[in-house]
Amino acid sequence: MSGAVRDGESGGGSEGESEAGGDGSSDGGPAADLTADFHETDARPPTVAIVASLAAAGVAATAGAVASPIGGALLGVAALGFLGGALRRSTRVLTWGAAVGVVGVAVAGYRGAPAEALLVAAVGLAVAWDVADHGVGLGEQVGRGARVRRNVAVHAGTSLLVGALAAGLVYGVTLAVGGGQPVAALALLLAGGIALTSAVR
Amino acid sequence: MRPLVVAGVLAVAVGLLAALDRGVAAAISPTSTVVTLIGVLGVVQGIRYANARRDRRRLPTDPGEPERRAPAAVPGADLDERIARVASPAPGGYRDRRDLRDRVREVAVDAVARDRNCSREAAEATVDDGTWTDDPVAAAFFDARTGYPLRVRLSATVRGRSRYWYGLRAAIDEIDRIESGGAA
Amino acid sequence: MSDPRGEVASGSADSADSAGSTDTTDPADSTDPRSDEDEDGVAVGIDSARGDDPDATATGVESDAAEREDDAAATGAAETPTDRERRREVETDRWLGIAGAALALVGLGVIVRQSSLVLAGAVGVGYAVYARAGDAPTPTLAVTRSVSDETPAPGDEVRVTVRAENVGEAALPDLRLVDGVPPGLAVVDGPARVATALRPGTAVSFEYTVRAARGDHEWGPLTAITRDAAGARERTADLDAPTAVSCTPELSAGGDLPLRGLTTVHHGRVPTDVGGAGVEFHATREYRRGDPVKRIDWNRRARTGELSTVEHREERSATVVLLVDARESAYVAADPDAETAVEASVAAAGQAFSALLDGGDRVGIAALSPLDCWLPPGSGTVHAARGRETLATDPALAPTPSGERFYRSLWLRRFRRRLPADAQVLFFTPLADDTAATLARRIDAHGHLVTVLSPDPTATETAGERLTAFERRQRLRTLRSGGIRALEWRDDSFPVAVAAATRRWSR
Repeated sequence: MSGAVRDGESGGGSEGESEAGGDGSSDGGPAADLTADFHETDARPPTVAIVASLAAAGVAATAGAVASPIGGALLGVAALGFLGGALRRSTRVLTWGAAVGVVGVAVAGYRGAPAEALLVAAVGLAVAWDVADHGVGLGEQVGRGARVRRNVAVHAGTSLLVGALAAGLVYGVTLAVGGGQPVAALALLLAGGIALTSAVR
Repeated sequence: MRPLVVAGVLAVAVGLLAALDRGVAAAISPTSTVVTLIGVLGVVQGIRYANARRDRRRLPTDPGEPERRAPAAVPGADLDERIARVASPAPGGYRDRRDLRDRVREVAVDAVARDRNCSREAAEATVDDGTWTDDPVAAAFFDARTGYPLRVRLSATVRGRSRYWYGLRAAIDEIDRIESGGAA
Repeated sequence: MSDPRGEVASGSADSADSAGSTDTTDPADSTDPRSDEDEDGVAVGIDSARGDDPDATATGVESDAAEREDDAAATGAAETPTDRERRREVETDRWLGIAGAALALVGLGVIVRQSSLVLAGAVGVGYAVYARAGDAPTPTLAVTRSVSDETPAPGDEVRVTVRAENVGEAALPDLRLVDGVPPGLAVVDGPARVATALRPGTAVSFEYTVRAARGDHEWGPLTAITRDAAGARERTADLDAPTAVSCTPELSAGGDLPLRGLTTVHHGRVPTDVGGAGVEFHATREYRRGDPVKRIDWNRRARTGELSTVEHREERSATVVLLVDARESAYVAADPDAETAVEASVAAAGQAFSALLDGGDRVGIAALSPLDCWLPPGSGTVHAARGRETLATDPALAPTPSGERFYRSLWLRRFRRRLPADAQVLFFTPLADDTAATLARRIDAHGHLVTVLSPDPTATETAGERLTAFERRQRLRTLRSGGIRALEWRDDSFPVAVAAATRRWSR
């Protein structure tokens, strides 16, 4: 009985392969070897996206490690998550990687990381996730075999630019305000942020 | 919604003012507890919002595989779909079951009639009373009175398959045996 | 929908294949200042787009242009945007939750009084705004597609070059193009896709190779997927750029196909009773001087010692109609990537067609298909060419099903009206359903000799496949027991099967 079950479930795939192999060796006219050339589109994310993502994640982990080893380690785990998610074509794994990375940033910040290092880590984390997720989407729609480098470069560049602008803006504001801790201002800003986010959703 | 937006904008505006002007900040000067509570609220709400990602369903455009030649249908693939549907032990799919059984029976009767060189009526009788085969599982597939053997019942329970599915496969195996035996 | 330019129509200038070859990039254009915006190290392998064939679009292949997309602003290429259809815009929700993460970080920063965490959270707010800011641009592209050979032979490799120029005002930060390769053709080299970013006035081109197969093949629209820079929204559009190739196989010389047994031995309703030269035995008579030696009955000579001559039935030409089953149910194969039964039937019909014509018969072609296909029986070289054309490119015999509905009784009435009274029918069908068998019997009952020639498409792996195979075999048996001659074959063994069956039938 168990043999019967197996062939019921795996019939199509194995037969397809044997068919292709058989056709490759035969040369019975042009029509016969058509199936031999068939190759599936490679849906893995393009290498350039994976490499860019890992580079950004590496920067983030290094920046995090400068301030707090645990934070840096968590960001390293996030980098591994991005690699694994990209290789497995799973955006879900990428999301978990990003979540671990956010926790890493939080830990590093809690341990009193300097603002500069933490900003670099945050931007690096965001870019790393963004590029990896973009790569997975590209893999699904265009595949690894196609020409995508310009697309990935533009996407990664824009993402980095946005992060750098945001970081530069908040850092500049902090410098302008001065070293003090206007806790009241922060609390108000946060309360406003919460209210606005709730309203927009 | 509206009041929330107004409150949010107001809070952000005053907050920015407080950040720039120490005097305003001093005027508000919330207690440490209030500040922490706002922080906690931020964390809780933030995690709630981030959690929305869990039930996200990605629906990006799927361009398919135009590079591939349109695949040909394999004869019987539609039947396999129906067989898979009746393979679960859950009740239902009566029409599928009846249709499939009728088709298998038709083929079985033809095979028996040819193999034993008898009339279709006689072949129908042997198929219906289970004497067309030595395999009790195949026999039970058409014969409602005899039940399936214990080993099939056990196996079906353990593996979460319907007995019907076992009977169907056994009957087709048996027809195969008759056909190949008859041809030789 | 929000873009008024979306309704700009025309696309006629960029429809055909030759349009692409006019826009050779002038080397002087490579100094265009806009090219400086390109990201560092973005080597777009445009030089790989240089085809060996003369018809391929000549893009920027100068060495200094190899590092970027070819800049076609001043090249006088087709400036008219290609027609768009079926636009769909969706939220990708890629960034969903980023605002929540940012809020949580800021909140934590407030709780633990760490300003650096607040700043990090503020960066997240920046990304959240970024994700909401953009809108997926509507692509305004001029698309041209060219093929290296419009009338290839089966098995030839055809190079396809697709070029898309951004003729709109907006930049496309994320553009993915997927070409609509005809369903009957397989790509053998390179995916028919590209992903890039296009500023206004720039173009991208990509190439791939398909292997030609029998039939008229028309390209579907090019699918363009655009996203905003953040990738939060995605828009899909179909761009029409009509292209077609037509692949007509040579009719094989049918001399080796022993089809004469299928037709003239049992030729229809009007047997001749004239003895003479031929194939079928008619009578023996006394030997006369001058009779050919090979017609002497040597068996009799050995038995009795007297010389006698075998008379064969006089041959006359038959009228034969080749009927090919091309209903949707006939587009089946034992493996999804194998040739369908229709393909096998058409190939076999082609062999039969030339064999019968060579034998002096009058041959016609009909399709059992939702689409009408009828070539009246005829003979001669013009007819041979017409038959070849019909078998290769008639829409009713297309390599993929038409999707139309088939009305059996309607078809049968029309077929019988057309069929000459003395015509025999060679019915090529995989016998995948009862309709085929029923029709064979109906045509036979109307006084036409029907021979069923059936390519076997069945597989024997799963339960359903085996059941289908049993049912088909039963159909064959029922046909045979009803007095209809039927033969089947697998793969390329059609001539062998015919030879075996002819021997059986003429016994």
